[in-house]
Amino acid sequence: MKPSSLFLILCAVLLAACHNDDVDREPNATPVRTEVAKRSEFAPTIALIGVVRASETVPVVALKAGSIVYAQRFAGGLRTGESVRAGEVIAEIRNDQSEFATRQSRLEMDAASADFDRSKRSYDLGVVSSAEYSTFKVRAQLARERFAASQRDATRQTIVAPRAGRVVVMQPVANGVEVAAGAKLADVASGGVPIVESAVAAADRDQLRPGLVVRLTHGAWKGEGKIAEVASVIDTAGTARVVITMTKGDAPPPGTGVDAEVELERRPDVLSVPEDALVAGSEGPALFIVGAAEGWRNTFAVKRVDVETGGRAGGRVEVRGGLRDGDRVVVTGVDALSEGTSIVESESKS
Amino acid sequence: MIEAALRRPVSTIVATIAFSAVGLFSLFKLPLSLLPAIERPRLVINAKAASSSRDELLHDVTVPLERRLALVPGIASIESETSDGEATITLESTWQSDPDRLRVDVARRIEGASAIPLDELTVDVLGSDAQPVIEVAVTGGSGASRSTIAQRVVVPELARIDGAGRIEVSGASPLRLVVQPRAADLAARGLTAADVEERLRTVGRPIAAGRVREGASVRPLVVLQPVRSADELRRVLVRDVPLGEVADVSLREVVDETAFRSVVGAGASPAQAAGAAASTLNKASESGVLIRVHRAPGANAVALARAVRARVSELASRAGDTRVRIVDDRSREVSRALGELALSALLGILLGTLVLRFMLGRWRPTLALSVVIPAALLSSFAVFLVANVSLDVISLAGLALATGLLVDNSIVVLESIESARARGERDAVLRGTKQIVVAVVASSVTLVVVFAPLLYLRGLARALFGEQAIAVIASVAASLVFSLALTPVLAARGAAETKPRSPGLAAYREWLERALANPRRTALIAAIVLIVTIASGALLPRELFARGASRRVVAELRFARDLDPLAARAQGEAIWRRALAALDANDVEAMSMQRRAGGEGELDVELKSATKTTEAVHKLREALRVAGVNARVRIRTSAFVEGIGGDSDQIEVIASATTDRDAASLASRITSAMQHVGFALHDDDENRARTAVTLRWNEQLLAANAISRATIERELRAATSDSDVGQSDVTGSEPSIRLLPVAPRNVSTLPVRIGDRIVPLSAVAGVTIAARAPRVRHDQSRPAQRLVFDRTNADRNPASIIDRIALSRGERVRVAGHARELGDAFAQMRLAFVLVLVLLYLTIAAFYESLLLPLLVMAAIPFAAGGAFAALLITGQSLNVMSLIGLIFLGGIVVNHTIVLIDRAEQLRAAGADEEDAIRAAAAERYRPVIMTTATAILGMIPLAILGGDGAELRRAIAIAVTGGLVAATICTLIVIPLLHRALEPLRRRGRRAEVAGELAMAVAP
Repeated sequence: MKPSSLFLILCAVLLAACHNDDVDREPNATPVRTEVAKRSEFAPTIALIGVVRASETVPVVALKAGSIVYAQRFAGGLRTGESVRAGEVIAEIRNDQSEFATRQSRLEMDAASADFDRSKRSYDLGVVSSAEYSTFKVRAQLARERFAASQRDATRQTIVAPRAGRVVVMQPVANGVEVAAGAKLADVASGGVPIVESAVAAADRDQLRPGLVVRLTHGAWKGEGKIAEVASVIDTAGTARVVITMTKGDAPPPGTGVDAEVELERRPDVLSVPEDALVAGSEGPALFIVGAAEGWRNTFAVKRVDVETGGRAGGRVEVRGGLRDGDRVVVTGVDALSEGTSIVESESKS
Repeated sequence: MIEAALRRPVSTIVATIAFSAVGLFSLFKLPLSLLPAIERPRLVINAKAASSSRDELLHDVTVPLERRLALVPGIASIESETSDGEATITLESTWQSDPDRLRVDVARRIEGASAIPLDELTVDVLGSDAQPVIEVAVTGGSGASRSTIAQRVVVPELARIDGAGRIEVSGASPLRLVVQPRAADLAARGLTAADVEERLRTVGRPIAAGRVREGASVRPLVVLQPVRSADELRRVLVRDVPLGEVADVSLREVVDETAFRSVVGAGASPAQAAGAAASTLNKASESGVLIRVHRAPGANAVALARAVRARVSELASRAGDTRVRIVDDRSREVSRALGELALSALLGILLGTLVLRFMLGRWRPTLALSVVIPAALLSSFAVFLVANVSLDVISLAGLALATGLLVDNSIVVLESIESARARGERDAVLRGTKQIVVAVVASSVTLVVVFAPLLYLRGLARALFGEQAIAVIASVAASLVFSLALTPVLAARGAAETKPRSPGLAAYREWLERALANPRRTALIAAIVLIVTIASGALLPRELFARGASRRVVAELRFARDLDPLAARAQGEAIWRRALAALDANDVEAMSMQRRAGGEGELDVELKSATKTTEAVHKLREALRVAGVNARVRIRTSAFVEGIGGDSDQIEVIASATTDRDAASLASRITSAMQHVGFALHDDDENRARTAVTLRWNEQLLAANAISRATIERELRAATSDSDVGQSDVTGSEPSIRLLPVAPRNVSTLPVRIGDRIVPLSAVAGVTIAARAPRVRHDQSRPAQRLVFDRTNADRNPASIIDRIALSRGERVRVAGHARELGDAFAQMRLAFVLVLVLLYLTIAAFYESLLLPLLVMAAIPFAAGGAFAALLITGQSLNVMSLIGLIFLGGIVVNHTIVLIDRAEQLRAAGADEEDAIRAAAAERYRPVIMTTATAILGMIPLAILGGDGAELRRAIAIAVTGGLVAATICTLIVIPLLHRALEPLRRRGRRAEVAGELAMAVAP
């Protein structure tokens, strides 16, 4: 073979060795998960927040104004959940004025009584008249009465538990704090099945009625109750009082905040979709539904349809219009979709 | 000069050594980087105002800022994205802008532009490369200890390194005191989240309380109540209620949405059986903190990486139970690519020398020729240093290209001396050299002329080709000087006594005779070959840079937006497990996955061999088909190619109009047009419009209770957002306390204060779900939509499709990213081609005093282009920036061959030879130098084309284009040019007034 042909062949071989392998390009269908829309039982819910209250509570009130000095057991202040015996001293109210009044009346009583003793001796000796003696007697009696009254007043400065039960503190009052007469330090809850007191927004009030089931949670604790009462009056804060009675589960201590989920009317034939399936449409919420097949390994094109939504429950939302029975709705992966995107159903959950 | 050199041979040799020494000295001074300093700095201005909505920010911040920024010089485009609480304006500068000046200009402009008070206003300058230079992982130990080491030790240390730019940290999970208020308990105690936030802000923070006089000194008075444990924080009173009664307080690792997992060196041990591969990968897999170090604009990547490596190995020794190590060092690519390039060049020199040895038959003349190559190369390094050119792939590729040419002038000079000797002329060395001096100077000048226009390009093309041009011009100029001074000196010393061989000369003569005998048939065949090969150019795919064999596979992940951090991390874990299960541990060199803030992430797999890449891509594509995660699996070419050109498979189109609605309608028109021809819509703005929870205040109720909206909105923000409040003093934990949103996250039950009562939010506001675009985009201050298409199934040019969309008034479409760079670069190159052709023509016309001869000389160019196109097509290459460089380069070389041939023919004609004889004699005489120069050039290219390694795809494109073009052009020069010369003879005889070439020949004749 001639050298020039050899050279050409060599060049051709070397060029061919440089050939680039390109990764074959397959259509990149977006993996999604879908769900067939079908009518099923659905009960929309309303979320409320409430507080557990004992069915009977007696307030612990400071009858007089003054600074609070708690008994040694409650030195750090009253705490929700602490149990008390009936008559147990909870605190004393220190009030300088009433202490001064007691001392003054004692002194006055002592003075009046000394005067009376002196007048009695003089009367017995015939030095003073009967009228004068009577006056001292009345004065001494009056001073004793005054002293008794001021002593009675002093006993009201000791705060005792009105009943046995557990203390519920809404607004804690620290040791040494000045309180006004009539200030409530705590409630003592006793006996009976606890209730949950809640408030519903005026707009939602019409959906609630006595007897509806309420699921209650507080951290890991779960309970169930029923609506016992929905106030017909809307207060200035725009809410109506709702009272829920516990039907299942041990109640957490009174004063505990609980989350309440009221199950509204359960309906048997509602179309619902996961909330995550909702996307923005032209006017409001929309859904992606699976459209025409594209003929490549189970790929389909998606279509965006505007929908009208209703109540929500457990991460699902009721679809009142725009969706038909049997439509395949894209429920996961909607972020990556737009009108006409090719999708392929993914086999497993992420 | 020639005479002087011959008279003072020692001086000539000493001067050569001196030049080379200066070059060698310069070589060690040159900065080393992968690419020339191609910078297109981007400025990102980020304005945060938590309490402002998207629309408030748009009107009060974005628009005024945009208006002012439009006046900053050197800005190519302004894009903005405004969402609730945050506005981001991205300025793209023109190529090679000075980032520091831009920052100063921008900072001056934006001062006081915002109409509302901002929480934060930052200006960041980002370089062109999106990829970090080096990645450091902190693994082992607990999440908290990792985070502490990473954030308190490693990041500050790395930030101090010279040349370190942005540093991203992902996957940190520091130990912190975390407070999560409970809605129901807050309400039961008459509190709101705002009360908790307000109280916690002051927790643990020292408060200045004046000064005290103690004796003669005055001391500051500071109130300090440190929080040393979770229990202490629980006892903190919020409006007399202990925090523990209304909130969960815990000390734990706080997970944000970013995450990092890595497995490095899996399956390295031979003991691991193939069956246990998946579990091996699993076992080796570990979570950690990833620190990505970017290069500061203008910094040297290799030096930065070296410094980071040194600092990391130092830190690793005192990292305790955690491990600090480098997981990915992209600068290795730089070093390897440069090394491979140098190796290619050396191999090229070696092969060229062997060819010379073969052709010349003796070692002495071969070495006398070869010595010009290192001398010229070293001298050009001195020019590099002066011209501020770094040693990078582009400049080295220019040198590697030039290597094949450097010896050409010397070959021709030596040949001419030999011929003169063979003719028995006196002073053969001087005469032989003088005889060829015009041809040698002409061919060198043409090469310079070919590359000089590249210095006048703009943008990316200038940045890339400028250095190449300097490299070629410098080395060719040096080789010209050496060939005219050093080669005659060495030849005169007896080095030029050759035993020449002309392989294939007899065959060539036979072919030439056949061609000359059948001019029509030859012309027809040539024309057909030319048309077919040139047409093949149209079939070549176009891209900015060639994608080559790569060991890296990357999966770009986009997770569902609006995911809770914990859910997001769990999703990332699931993806990681699927990827581990899909890949064979024995194939994987290293693997890492990170999830960045904003729902985006990246799974990066480095395989042991490039042959497994395609398989790995398929496996990963299958494995990552997970609903809720959009994974784009592709081969990653070199980091810097992506850094400059972006992802070549993505086409970014920005549609802007005068109103949002018009922009949306334009976007939908573009989408349908693009989808019609197979482009898949990858991402669009409209699609980002998700449902939002919207509130409508019951204003009457608010008014009746004398509550301002601002108050209640503040309460809402406190209840719904993560915030850092107060400080703790717990050993080993982050000092700031994290306040989480109120649990459970049900908006309607969030407690708000109305008068002295706490009510659920639903009492004062209607809560509904509505569609709303979370962000508003502007392009050049006009409402815009951004569309990203995937080129996966479409080979059409996106620009042509977009051009066909009818635009009404005020509508504008702009292609951004890779596609725009591609368009710009090709437009510039077209301009360069035209300039090169015109300048070539003018130069040759000037040298030969003929208007017709240049056309003859340039006739080889179309053949060269055809050959290059055909070679690119056969090898499956694309038409890219590098192959275009090859094409331009070809223009310079092939013209040389023709000049050498025609020059001799013209000399012979001038000496009175018959046209037929002259062309035959010239062809036979110049066959050897042409074949020699072609062979040295091609052999110089072959290592570039076939050696693998990093950056191979770039070298390969040039080498293949040059090789194919040279082969075609040489055949053309040897067969078609003599034919054309003869065919044009009657025409030239008529038009010629003076026998220019004849005069030239007379001038050098004895």
